[in-house]
Amino acid sequence: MSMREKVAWISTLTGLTIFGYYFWSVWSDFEARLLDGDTLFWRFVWCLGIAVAIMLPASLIAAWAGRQQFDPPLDEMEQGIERRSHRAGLGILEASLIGIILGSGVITDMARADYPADAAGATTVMLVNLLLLALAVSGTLREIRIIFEYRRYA
Amino acid sequence: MPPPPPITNSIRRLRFDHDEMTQQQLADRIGMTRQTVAAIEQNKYSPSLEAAFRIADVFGVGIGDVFQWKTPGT
Repeated sequence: MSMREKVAWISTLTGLTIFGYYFWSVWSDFEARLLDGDTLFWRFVWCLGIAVAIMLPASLIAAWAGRQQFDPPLDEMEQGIERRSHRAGLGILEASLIGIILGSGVITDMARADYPADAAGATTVMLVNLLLLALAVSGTLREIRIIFEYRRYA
Repeated sequence: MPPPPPITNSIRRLRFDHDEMTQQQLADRIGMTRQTVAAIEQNKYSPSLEAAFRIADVFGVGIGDVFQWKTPGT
């Protein structure tokens, strides 16, 4: 297995676990109408820190165990895989951003109904988390596509 | 998924004829990964013209001796 595919597996599994937990917790807070920007910010920072703390050593160990370079230069087939995956990820991100912008009116209405004391703050928290979700989903799908393409050529 | 291009190659035989060169050894000589060489050998990936020339150069043969265009119906 090439180093880039190993990194894709590590990123996908770590991302799904750590950020899966984060967005599940955001959804729980949203359902309980307990969204708090400060709490969510620090929870996200912790999740990001834990994800980096897992992914970096895991990638180093994978490179060491396979006697491979940690960040080898990509050859032409790998560049093609990266290019197609990035294009697909960017397309998903763009579509998600348009969806979020089009849905911002609904989000504002929900914030006004559930958080009348600070509707603007609640709107911001929801929009920021939707943007984070769009980034996470597009990034994860990009890595999944990389895995899929490497398996196709294997 | 697009169908594979009608191209065949003789890389496996050429490797065998050159002191049973491994895929990794060939990959190192043309600046590619072993996975890419394996994909080319199995006709799952069509290399660039430059890579094709590099492979032919390693074996000291012409590009037509490494890659063959499979004419439909043959």
